[in-house]
Amino acid sequence: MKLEILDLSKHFDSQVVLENVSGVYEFSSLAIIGPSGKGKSTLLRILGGLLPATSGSFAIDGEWVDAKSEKQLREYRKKIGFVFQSQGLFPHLSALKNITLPLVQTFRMSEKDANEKAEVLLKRFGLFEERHKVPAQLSGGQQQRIAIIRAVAIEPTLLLLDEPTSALDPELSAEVLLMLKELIDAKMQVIIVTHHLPFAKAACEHVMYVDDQHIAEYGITHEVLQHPTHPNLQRFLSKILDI
Amino acid sequence: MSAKKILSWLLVAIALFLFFGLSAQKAAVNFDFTRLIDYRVRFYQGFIMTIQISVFAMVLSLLIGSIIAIARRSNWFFFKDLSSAYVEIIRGTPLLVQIIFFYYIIGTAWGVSNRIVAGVMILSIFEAAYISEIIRGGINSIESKQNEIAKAIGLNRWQTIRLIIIPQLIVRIIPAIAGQFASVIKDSSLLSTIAIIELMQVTKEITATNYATYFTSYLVLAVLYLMLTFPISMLSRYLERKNQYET
Repeated sequence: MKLEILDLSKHFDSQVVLENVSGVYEFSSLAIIGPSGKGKSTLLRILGGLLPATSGSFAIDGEWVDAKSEKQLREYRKKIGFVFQSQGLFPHLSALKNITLPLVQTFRMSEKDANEKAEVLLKRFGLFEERHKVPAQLSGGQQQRIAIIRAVAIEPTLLLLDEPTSALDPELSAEVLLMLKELIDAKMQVIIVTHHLPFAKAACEHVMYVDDQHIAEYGITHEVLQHPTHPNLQRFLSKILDI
Repeated sequence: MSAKKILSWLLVAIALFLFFGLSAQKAAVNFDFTRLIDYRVRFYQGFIMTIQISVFAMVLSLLIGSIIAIARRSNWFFFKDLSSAYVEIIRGTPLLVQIIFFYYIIGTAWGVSNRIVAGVMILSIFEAAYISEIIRGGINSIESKQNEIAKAIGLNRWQTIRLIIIPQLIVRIIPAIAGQFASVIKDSSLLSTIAIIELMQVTKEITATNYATYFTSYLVLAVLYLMLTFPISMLSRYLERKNQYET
C-alpha cells in the first residue's frame, strides 16, 4: 500500500509533537519505532483518524483525507482497524459481543451474520471456547487477541496497532505477536507502533523511526536496523542492544 | 449460609434482644402489643401511604436526578451552575427546613394545595440531589478511553451513550441508588410535618390520644420501616457483590 503524508502537524497547546511531516511510503507492513513521548503514538492515532491533526492531510492508496476534518475522519475510520495498548475492549460485553458490535452497529450486518463471522475468526485464532467470557475473565493476551479479531473482522484496508504488547508479560506477548505475524503473512496491511525490535525485524518489512517531531528515518527493516544513518537512531539502537 | 454464620447472627440477635430488653426493664417500659390491636387499620393505612409516597418519590427523584446529572455536564454555563447550586443548597440544608419552605411558601405561591402531591415533589427534589451525585460519579468512573474505543469502531455519539455508557452506568450505580431508595422511605417520615397521614403521622396521632401506647407504637413503627428498608439494603448488598465479581 501507499501512504502519502503532506505537511502534517500536531500541537497540544504549546507543545509541538509533529511538525510539517511529509513523505511517500510504500509498504505492506510497517513498524514505527522511536523513543517514548516523541510522536509515534500521536502519528498512529492521526493515521487511524482518532485524533484530528492541527494541519495537513494524508492519503491511503491515493485517497486523501483532510486530517483536521472530523467529518471526513468519521467515514475514514470505518476502513481502519485499530488496536489499543491495553483495555481496548468494553468490559460489560462478552468477547463475542465485543467483536460483533461494530459489525452490527457500524456496518449494519445482521446479528446472525455477524456472529458467524466472529465465530470463524475465534476458531481460527483458538479463542472459540472463550467467546462468552467478559474481558475481566480473560488473560491480557486473550484480551488483546480479541481486540485484534474485532479490528480485522470489519475487513479493514489497514490495521493499526499501538504498542499492543507493552502491557503484557513476555509469554502473553508472544501469543499476540504470533497472531499478528500470521495476519501479516496472510497479507493484512499493518502499521504497528512497537518497542519490540525482534518482532519488527521478523514480521515487518518496513520500519519508520520517529523522533523530534519528524519521521527521521524510513526503509526496509533489516537494512535500517543494520545500517542506521540518523545519529539519533544509531544511539537509540545501541542503547536497546546494550541491555 | 454456613452454620457458623447462622450461629453468629443468632448470637447478635440474642445480644441485641437482651440489651434492649434489659434497658426497657430498667426504664420500666412495658411493651403491650394488645393495646395496638384497635389501631391496626390506621397503621395499615399509614404503611400503605408511606409505600405509595416512597414509590412515587423514587421514580420522580430518579428522573430529576438524571436531568440534574446531565445538566451538570452541560456546556451551557447557566444549566451547569444552576444544577450545581441546586445540589449544594439541597444537600447543605435539612429536609425539614425544605419541607416547610417549599410547602408553605413555594407551594402556597404556586397553588400546590394537595399535600400528598406536594410531599412527593418535595421528597423527590431532596433525594434527586443525592441521586444526581451518584449518577455523576458513575459517569466519571467510566474511563474516558471507552469513548475513544467507541470512536475507533465507528459508533456515533448516541450509539456510544446507548450501548456503552448507559449499560455500564446502570450496573455501577444500582447499589448506591438502592441505598438511596432506603433513605427515601425513612425520609418520607418527615412529611408528617405537613400532616400527610403516613406511618409517622399515624403513630404521632395514636400516641397523642393514647399515651400508654407510646413506646409500643414507635417500636412497631421502627419494625415496619425496617421491613421496607431491610430488603432494599440486602438487594443493594447483593448487587454490589455481583457487580464486583463481573468487573
